[in-house]
Amino acid sequence: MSTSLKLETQILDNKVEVKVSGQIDEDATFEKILNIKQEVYIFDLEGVSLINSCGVREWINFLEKLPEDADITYKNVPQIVVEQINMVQGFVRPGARITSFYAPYYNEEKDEVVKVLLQSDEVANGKAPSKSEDGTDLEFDAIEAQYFNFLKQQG
Amino acid sequence: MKIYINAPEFSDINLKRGQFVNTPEEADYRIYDHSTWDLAKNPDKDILLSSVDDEINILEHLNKVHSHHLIGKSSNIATEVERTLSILDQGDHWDPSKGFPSPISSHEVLLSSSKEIKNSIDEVLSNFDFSDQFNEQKDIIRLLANELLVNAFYHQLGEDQDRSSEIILETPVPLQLARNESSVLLRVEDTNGGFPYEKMLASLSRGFRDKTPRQDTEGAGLGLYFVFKMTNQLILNLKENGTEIICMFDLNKRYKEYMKRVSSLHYYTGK
Repeated sequence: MSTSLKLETQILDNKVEVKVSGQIDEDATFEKILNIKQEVYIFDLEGVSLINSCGVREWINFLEKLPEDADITYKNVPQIVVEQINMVQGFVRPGARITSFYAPYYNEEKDEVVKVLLQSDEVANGKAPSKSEDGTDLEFDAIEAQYFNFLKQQG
Repeated sequence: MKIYINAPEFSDINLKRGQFVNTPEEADYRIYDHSTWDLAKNPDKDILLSSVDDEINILEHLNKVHSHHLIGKSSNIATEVERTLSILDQGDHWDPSKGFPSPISSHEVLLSSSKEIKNSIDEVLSNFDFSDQFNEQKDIIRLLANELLVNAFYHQLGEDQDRSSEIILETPVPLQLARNESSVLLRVEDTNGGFPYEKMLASLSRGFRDKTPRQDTEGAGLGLYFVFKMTNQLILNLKENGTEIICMFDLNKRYKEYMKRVSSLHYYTGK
């Protein structure tokens, strides 16, 4: 995976979907997206490998430059980004939504932790949904109250 | 070495060295826990054992008494306490050869330019075996190595340098990643003249209190907060010209176990 930040955009009608990959750090620039004026912004964070502390600031400042009434959605949020959203304020702008994210599950048979893509609406009352892999039930491998805390930040 | 312990929550801790005394006045070092920390007075002598949140440990406990040693609850807390007391008794720094015995593997690179940060981290990570750790560990170490190296390069001579400029150093910065049977060690050493305890505590406190990046400085002021929050033990060795920073992670296959950690903080001045 390349470490430099890469932004791939796809525009359809009134929305733009941005595939974000690589590192979001002090070198990150988002002019490319700011130049696209749309009503709906969908950020696919699947390929993000790192957001450092300066990258968090760049991202928050970037969000502030998007139109106030923009409809913002995050999807495929990696586990490391979930951890960081849980540690900072402002990474998810008020009104924004997180539709899907990765969460750790333990496969006892294989004795390994796997990352499972969850839809946010699968998390009811702060409880992790049941998952299985090749017929084996998986055990949610985090502390629900901590891990799902970031969902409270969304609008 | 005379030790006074008033830590009811850790009454089962079994320390094998030291002479135990009945009053704090007699002791060289005093060990308290969350429930008795109000009795602590001396940052050089008082050690906190804690099972409570990192945020409470920093914002309440260490801001009350600026102790150099906070030890988070873990399965090997007795070993950590004994090691801390031993180093303090000898007026030493934390030495990887004693605190991190029998490394199975160790990879070290030396960086002279800030432009080498990303590739050096990738190089060290690609040479490291993560097969017996939860899969998120690699991403966590990538982030922490990045924060420590960025600080090492951009805080030269106490100045917060422009992050877009290339910084070239005469003395290279080492980045080391090693593991033994029970832990992973991440080490970075800078030549920034030393990171004063008060500045370190202020930085951590700001992170926990505000949880937002600073806008008035080149750095965002969240790096050390991330590093402390995501490590089992954060160890700082204050040296003549700079600071050696070591992050220790308990070897773990389960992310859930990692999430239960209470981070330790050690600040050694070698005096």
